[in-house]
Amino acid sequence: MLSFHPDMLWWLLLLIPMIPLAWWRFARRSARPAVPWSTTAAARTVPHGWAARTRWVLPGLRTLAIVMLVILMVGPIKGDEQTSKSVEGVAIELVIDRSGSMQALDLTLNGRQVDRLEVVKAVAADFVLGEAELPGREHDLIGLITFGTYADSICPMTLDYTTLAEALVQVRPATEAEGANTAIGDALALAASRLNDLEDRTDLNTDDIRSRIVILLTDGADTASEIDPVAAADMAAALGIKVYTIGVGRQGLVPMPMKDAFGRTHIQQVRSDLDETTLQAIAEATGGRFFRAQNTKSLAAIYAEIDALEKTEVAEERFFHYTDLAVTPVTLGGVHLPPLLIFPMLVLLLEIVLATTRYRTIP
Amino acid sequence: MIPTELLKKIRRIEIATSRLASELLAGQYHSAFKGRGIEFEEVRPYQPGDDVRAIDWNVTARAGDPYIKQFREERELTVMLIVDMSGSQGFGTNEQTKRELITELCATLAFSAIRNNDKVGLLAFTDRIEKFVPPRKGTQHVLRVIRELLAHEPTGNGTDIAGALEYFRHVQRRRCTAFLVSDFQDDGWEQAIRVVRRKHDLVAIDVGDRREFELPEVGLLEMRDAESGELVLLDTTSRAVRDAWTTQATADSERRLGWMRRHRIDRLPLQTGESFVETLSAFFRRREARMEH
Repeated sequence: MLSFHPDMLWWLLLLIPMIPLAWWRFARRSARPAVPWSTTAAARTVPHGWAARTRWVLPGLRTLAIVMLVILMVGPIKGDEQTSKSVEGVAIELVIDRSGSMQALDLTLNGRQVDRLEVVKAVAADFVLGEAELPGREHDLIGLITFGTYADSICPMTLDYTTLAEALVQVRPATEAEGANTAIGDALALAASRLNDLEDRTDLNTDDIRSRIVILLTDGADTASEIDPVAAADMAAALGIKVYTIGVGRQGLVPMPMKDAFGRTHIQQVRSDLDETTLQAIAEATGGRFFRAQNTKSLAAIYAEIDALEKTEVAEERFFHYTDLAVTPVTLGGVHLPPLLIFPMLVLLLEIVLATTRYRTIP
Repeated sequence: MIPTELLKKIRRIEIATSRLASELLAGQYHSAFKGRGIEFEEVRPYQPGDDVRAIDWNVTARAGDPYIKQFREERELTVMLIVDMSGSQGFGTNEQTKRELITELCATLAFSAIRNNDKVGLLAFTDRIEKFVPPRKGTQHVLRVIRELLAHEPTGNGTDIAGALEYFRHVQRRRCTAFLVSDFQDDGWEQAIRVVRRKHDLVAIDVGDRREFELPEVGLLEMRDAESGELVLLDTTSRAVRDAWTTQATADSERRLGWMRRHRIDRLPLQTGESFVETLSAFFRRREARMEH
C-alpha cells in the first residue's frame, strides 16, 4: 500500500513558492544575465539551433527535481499493515453423550433418518467450523469430551479446529464393552477440570480467555456417574464455568437398532428417558441455559443461540509498518526499487551534466 | 570616472594620438582635405613660368600688363566629429570596445586637424543629441573634445543617425568636413546623408567588431541587444547557426556598403583591435589622389 505520512502533508506547501519563482523567472526574463551584443538583429532571420530551442529542458529538470524532492520530503511510504488482534476468546468444552441411547434413530439429517450421534456430530462440527446459520467460532479454545459410562477427553482445548473436527468424526456410539451407560456427572466434572487447569496445560495466553463454558449434550439421565451431576454443576459454578445443557431426542418411544444374540440388528421401539430436571438444574446452577432439541433443526438453532450468547470479543489493533521509500530500497509488485531519493538526485545530476556540456550557456 | 584617472586617460590618448597625427598622418590629412576651399588672395604681375590660365584678363586689360590671380588655399577648415555613443558602441571583443576605438580615432583626427590650424567640433548622439561642442581651434579645445568623448555618459541608448544629421545641418551652416562615426545600426539615415552631402564633405567611418560577423563557438550564447535589450539565445555549437549569422551580418553590412558606394560616399571601415593608422593613412591617400584629379 502506497501513501504519504499524513502529518507530513503540509510540506507540500513548499511547492507554493515555486509558482512565484516560476513567474519571476518568466516575467523577469530581461533580468537574466546575458552578453551584451551590439546588435541581435541578425537573429531574426538566423536559426537559433535545436539546443537553443530546447534550452527549457534545464529549468524543467530543475523544477522536476525540486518537485520530486518536496514529494519525497512529504514521505511516500509503503505501509505493511500488521493487525494485532487482541482477542478475548471463549474456552468451550464440548461434552457429547455417546451412550447407547444415542443410536436412537429419531432424528433426520438431510432427509435421511440417522442416529442421534450423527446429527449431534454434524451440528457440533458446524458450530465449530461454521456452516449455514452457524457462523463458526474463531479464536476460541475448543475441546471435546465424550462420555458413555466413562468420560474421555477426546481432544484437548485447541484452536486447531480441523483436528477437532476430525476427532469429532471419529466419535462412535459406545459399545456395551466400553460402557454404554450415561455418566453425565463424571463428564461434567472432567470438563470443568479441563477448563480449570487450562493455564497449566497449554502455553496459550489464558489472560485472553474471557469465559469458560461447557456445552453438555445428552439424551438421557445420569445412570453411571460417580459424581452427582448437580454436584458437578456446583463445582463448575464455583470455578466460574457456565454450562449449557442440551437435551436431544424425542420423549417416549424411539426406534433403536438392537443387536440380538446372533449379532443381527433389529429396530426396536425403546423408551427414551431424558432427565430434563437435572439438566435444567445444572444449567441454572452455573448460570447457563437448558435447551431442548427435538430435531436437527432445533439443535442447530440451539447451537446458533449459544454461539450468539458467547460472543468472542475481538479488540483489533492495526499496526502499520512503514517503509520510507525515499531512503529505503523496496520491492513493489515485483519491481526492485532503489531508494526513491536517488531519482531527484539523478535528475539533478542530469541537469548539471547537460548544463555543463551540450547546454553550456554563456554567460 | 574620477578626474585624475580621466586626466591620465586623456593624457595617454593625447600622447598616443598626437604622435600619430603629427608623424604619420599630418601630411596626408593636409593634402587629403586641401584645395577644397580656395580663396582669392591677390593679383600680381605675370612672371614667366606662371600658368597662363591664371591670367586675370580684366586687370590685364585695365593695366596694359599681364596680371595673374593669385589664390591661396583656404586653410580655415572646420572638422566636425559626429559620434555615435549608442549602447552598441560598448561592444568590443578584441582588446577594445568600439567606443574606445572611436575615442582614439576621433582624438587622432582632432589632433591632425589642430596641427593644420583647423577648427574641431563634436556632436555626440544616441537616439537624441548627447553633446554638442562647437568647432574651435587650439589644443585646449581638442583636449576638451577628448574629455567629452571619454567621459560623457550617454543618456540615450538607441541610435538615430537621421536626427543627428538633421541637428548637425542646423547648427553647422558653414561648409565643413564631417566625420560620421557610427556602426550604422539604424534605418532611414540614407536620405539624411544625401542632404548633408549637398553642403558638407562627409566621411562615414563604419566601426565594427569581428564578433558581429563571426560568432564564437562557446555553446549556448545568451545575447542581449545592447540597444533594444532584446534577449536572444543562440546555439553557437551549431555550424549552421554560426554560418547563417555570418551570412546575415555580412549581407547587412554589404547592403550599407553598397548604398554608400553607389552614392559615392567616402566610407572608412574600421574594426576593433586593429590598428586604424594604416586604414586611415590609406584612406587619406585615396582621397588625396582623388583631389588631384
